[in-house]
Amino acid sequence: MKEIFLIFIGAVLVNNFVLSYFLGICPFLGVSNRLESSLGMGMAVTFVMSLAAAITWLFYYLILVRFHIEFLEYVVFILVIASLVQIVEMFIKKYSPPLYQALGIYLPLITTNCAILGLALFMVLRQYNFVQSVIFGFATGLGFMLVLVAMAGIREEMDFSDIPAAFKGAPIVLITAGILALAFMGFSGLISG
Amino acid sequence: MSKKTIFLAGLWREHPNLRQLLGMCPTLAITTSVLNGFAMGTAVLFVLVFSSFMVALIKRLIPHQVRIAVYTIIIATFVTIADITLKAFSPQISRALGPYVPLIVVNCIILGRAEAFASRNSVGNSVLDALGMSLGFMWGLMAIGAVREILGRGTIFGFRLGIIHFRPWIIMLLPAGAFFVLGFVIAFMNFLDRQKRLKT
Amino acid sequence: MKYFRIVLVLLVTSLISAFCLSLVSSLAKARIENNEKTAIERAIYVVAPAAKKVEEKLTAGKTIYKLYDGQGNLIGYAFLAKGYGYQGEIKIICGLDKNLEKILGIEIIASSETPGLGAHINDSWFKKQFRGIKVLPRIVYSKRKSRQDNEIQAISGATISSRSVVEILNKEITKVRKILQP
Repeated sequence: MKEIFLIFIGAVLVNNFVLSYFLGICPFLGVSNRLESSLGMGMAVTFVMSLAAAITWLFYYLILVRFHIEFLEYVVFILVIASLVQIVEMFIKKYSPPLYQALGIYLPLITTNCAILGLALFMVLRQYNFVQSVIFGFATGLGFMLVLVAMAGIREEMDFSDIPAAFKGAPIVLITAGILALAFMGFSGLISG
Repeated sequence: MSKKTIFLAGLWREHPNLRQLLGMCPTLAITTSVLNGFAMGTAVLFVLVFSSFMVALIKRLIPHQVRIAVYTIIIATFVTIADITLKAFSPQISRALGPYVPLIVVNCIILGRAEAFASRNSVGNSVLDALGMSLGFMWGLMAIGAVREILGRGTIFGFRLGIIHFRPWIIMLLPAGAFFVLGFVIAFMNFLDRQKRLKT
Repeated sequence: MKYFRIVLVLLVTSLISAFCLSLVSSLAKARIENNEKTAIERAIYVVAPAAKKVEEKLTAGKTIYKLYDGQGNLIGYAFLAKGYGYQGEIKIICGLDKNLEKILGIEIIASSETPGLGAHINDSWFKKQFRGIKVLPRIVYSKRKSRQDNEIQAISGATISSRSVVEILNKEITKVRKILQP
């Protein structure tokens, strides 16, 4: 139980995917300008990540390891993730149009989101079991959403400031992310690994 | 488009990481030294050139609906080959680059070039484009790696820079430093662009 | 007809990919295993320079290396200890004397701790501390200079990395002692 708690806190705060491992930067730069879209993206990502963690775990241990074809890890993972996102999108579109309105547009962006593949890779590297993997996926998604929403809040405020021309757009977001990363470093003492 | 234009585009005008802002993950993650930047750049070069080559070669055989899936399989295959080769012949570099080598699979540059260029141009031009883009990516990585290594470690390519009273800014090697350096570098490039536009 | 073409293309692509990768993987496998083995061997000789012969034995699921000097006398044992540090996995080769009471030395063969802080566990001064350290009842660390013969000094600003090294060693040494002295 303690182990799961550590994984959770680790993924959300201490080793946040965006601020420590730089995974998910593309959507982070693109979507974090509005609070609403950040929440939407964050929820979509959390949902897909939890699902992806479960399914890639099953594929890896029940098929790849069983038949000693671990070298197909990257090919299988990316195909599974891409298909998963596609299926989830179709499912939501059909069974919940309002949900699709809120989240649907973000889903295709998630496929090339390094965060999901990164999640699957880390899960294998750290040899998490099934439950640990799903918690890890869920926590990583939450961590992503946390940072995205924090950034959106800051950016909405920054809209009212006078930013030098050269810094407008990506540069100021990156520098802000750096400050956020510094702040998050304060969490490093939380888990006495 | 002349062959020269195609090749040079990736080196400055359409620079993949510093202008198009693609491939940010490795640009931030592994640029703690120039050597790392060079190693990752080489890996990306291998994957990009061979993937573009393959895609351009078989572009007529691929039905439109599954093209992304096929490109992805091709890219993932070359990434796996690169990863296995690194693990076998240079375990130190493999460990330094870590999980970011397999993450080349989702590096937007590669799929982006396959879709935008290789799928509709000749094999020769596609390879030229891939070379230009990857060399551009590589110098971008090495530039950021240089800033972070010099300020964060006081070395370049591993060699001490004899500046005696300099205590390295460790922050440069940490994630926060990566964000700061990249932010400032892109700002600088924007500044150069503005100056150029103001002059004309 | 269109569906057939789509499925065929996907199938063929996947098969070619699987074939190529299986080929490359089997070609490189021997070399990759060899790299790992070389790293461990090199580390063992760093840990116990007096060792002239190393004998690898798999006992109770753990690979233990028996170290002999030039005259064929047993001088101790070496083994791999691994676990999680602050940033990633730490792999340590640890050498124990033949009575399993003192450490001959340690060498860290893999780590990805914070550069400038936890990464100092790779510094020779940190690793040298472990030479001659008593492992019973367990190795401990302190933030000031060590006073007991089973105590080492942690790196200032990198307590977690230092602690991880100590804990990884304690855990594995207990395991090895149980295997060799049941």
